[in-house]
Order: sequence, then C-alpha cells, then structure tokens
Amino acid sequence: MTSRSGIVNGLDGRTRLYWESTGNGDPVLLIHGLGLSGGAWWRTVDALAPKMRVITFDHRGVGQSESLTYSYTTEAMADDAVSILDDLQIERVHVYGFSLGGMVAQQVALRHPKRVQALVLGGTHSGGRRAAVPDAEVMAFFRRRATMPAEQAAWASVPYNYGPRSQTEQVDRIAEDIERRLQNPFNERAYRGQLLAAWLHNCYGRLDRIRAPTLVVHGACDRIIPVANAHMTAERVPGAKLKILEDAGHLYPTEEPAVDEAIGTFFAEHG
Amino acid sequence: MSFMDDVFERTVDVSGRVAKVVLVPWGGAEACVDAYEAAIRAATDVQLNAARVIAVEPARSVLASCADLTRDIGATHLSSVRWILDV
Repeated sequence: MTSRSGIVNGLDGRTRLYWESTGNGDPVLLIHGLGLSGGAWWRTVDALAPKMRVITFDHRGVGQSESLTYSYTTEAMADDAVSILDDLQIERVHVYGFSLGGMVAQQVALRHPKRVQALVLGGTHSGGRRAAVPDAEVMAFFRRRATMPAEQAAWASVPYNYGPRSQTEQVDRIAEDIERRLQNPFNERAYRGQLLAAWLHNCYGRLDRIRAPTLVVHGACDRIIPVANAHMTAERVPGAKLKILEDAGHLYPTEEPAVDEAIGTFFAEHG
Repeated sequence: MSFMDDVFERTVDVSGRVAKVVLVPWGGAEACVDAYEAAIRAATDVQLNAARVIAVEPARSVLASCADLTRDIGATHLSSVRWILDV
C-alpha cells in the first residue's frame, strides 16, 4: 500500500503541519479529536486505505505539527486542513471529522464548500446555545485532565470515553488505544488551545448551508458529547443521514469496528 | 439551573431579541452577521494574498500573522454574536 508523509509550512514562518497519506483511490481527509494526533486514526486508516487514499494530519501544536500561538479556533484548524489539501494538490475530498475534528469538518464544509465531496460528522456537536452539554462531572474531568501525567490521564479518561459494555468486554482494544496514544507526547498548551476552540465553536445556525452529502455518527452512551447533539445536527443539515450506535460511547471507532466499513460505503456511494 | 444561570440566560435572551429588532432596518440579524463574516474573510484574504506576493521576510510573516489574527478575532466575535442572537 502506498504511504508517504510530509510537512506543510505556513506563511507565518512558524506553523508547520505534518500529514500522512496511505493508499490509493478517492481521497478522504480524517480530522482527529481533542488532545490526539493523526496517529489516533490507525484503526480507520487500516479499514479505509485498501479502497481509498486516506490522509491524516496533526492539528497545529500537536504531534509533529507546530504553530505560532496556542490560541486556536475551529476556523483556523479548518484552514489548516485545506492548506494540506492545497499542498497535496487535491481539489475535492471526502471529509471525516471526529469529536473536535467533527467541528473542524463543519467549518471545512462551510468555509470551503467546493472542496468537500461528502462529509461524516462523528461524535461531535455544532455549538451554539442549543448544544447539549456534558454533565458537571465530565466538565470537571476535562479541567483536571490537563494537569495529569499522560498515562494517568489516558486511563482516567476510560469511563468518559467508552460505553459501559466496552469497559468490561473490550479491555484489550481500549489498552491498544491508550498504548498508541501514549506514543505521542501530550502538549498541555495545545490541549488548552483546542478546548478553547471547541468552546468557541458555533455552527448551529449555519448547518442548513452545508451542501455536501452528510452522515452523522454518534454513540448512544457518549458522555463527552451527549447524543442529543447528533439528532440536532442531523435535523439541521439538509438530507443528512443519522447512525446511532446503541452500546457505544464517545470513542465508537474502537467499540464498533464495523462502523468504518459503513463509513467507507457511504463515501463510495458519493464518490 | 441556578438562579444566576437563569438570570444570565434571560439577560442574553432579552439582549438577543432587542438586537434582532434593532438590526431589522439593515436586513435582519442573520444578514448583518453574514456581512460581518464576509468582511472578515475579505480582510483576511487581502492580507494573505499580500503575504504570498511579498515574499520578503519579515514582512511576509507579519502579514500572514495579521491575517490569522484577523480571522481568529473575527471568529471569536462571530461565535459570541451568533450565540447571543441564536442565528
């Protein structure tokens, strides 16, 4: 399978964005979530790359990417994603964003509509006053997590990231996730910058302007981003399909491996 | 919901309704917010294009950084305004 990587240098002379491309076929851009790096997509890359060209990247300030400041917005992160497409000379692409990446994917679809072939919004919300917020315990954990050592934080996140069934039946897969996550150094300042970006994100009023075919995917037991957000998003985006994974929590790609195949099929239908 | 949260929600709600009425002569709240967004994007693009043309440092870096600042400060304004106006 063809695999290559590179760096896009920003005009500000300081921003550097690391990307990886795996496989051949219709291109799909994967946009990862809070505190993670592009490497967190390893399961999805393995699932999609036999039929597609899968592009992952590290958000600014995370993994092998750098940025001038630690003040982020989802608009800036969307423009970063498009600058990678420009560098790879890809005009149109399928976009799959997960969690914070889903917010960035909404911005890509709104700010650069001609670049998006089809859109998958996974475990995400659209912001605004109507967004369903996590309970107080989850919010307190988010604030505490930034000060924890990486391994402790990764294990302490388990009750929030995964559904109750996975926490007992899929311990090996959860351990694999954490092992992979710990391979990338955690940048506390970038994490806080991403939290700010997620907090400021507000696309709710403009979701009806998204023209790309859209699939909304969400775990029914998601504690980080309550599932009510998926219903709201799917109602607002014209023609959007909704797929609720009954037993899954926030990190459904680990808990429901078959979902990657369904997402691949959705992209193939809109190729 | 606590008493203070309730007061905050009501204040924001009333402010949003008042702003919507005030903005009617200019095409309504949504049109005004869209126009502001378009202006921010235009200002950002002008600075970015200038940075691409002026390939001399530090002018290029400064222009690109100003473009980023314009976009991000504008994005923060827009997010807040959309939240208050609920548009």
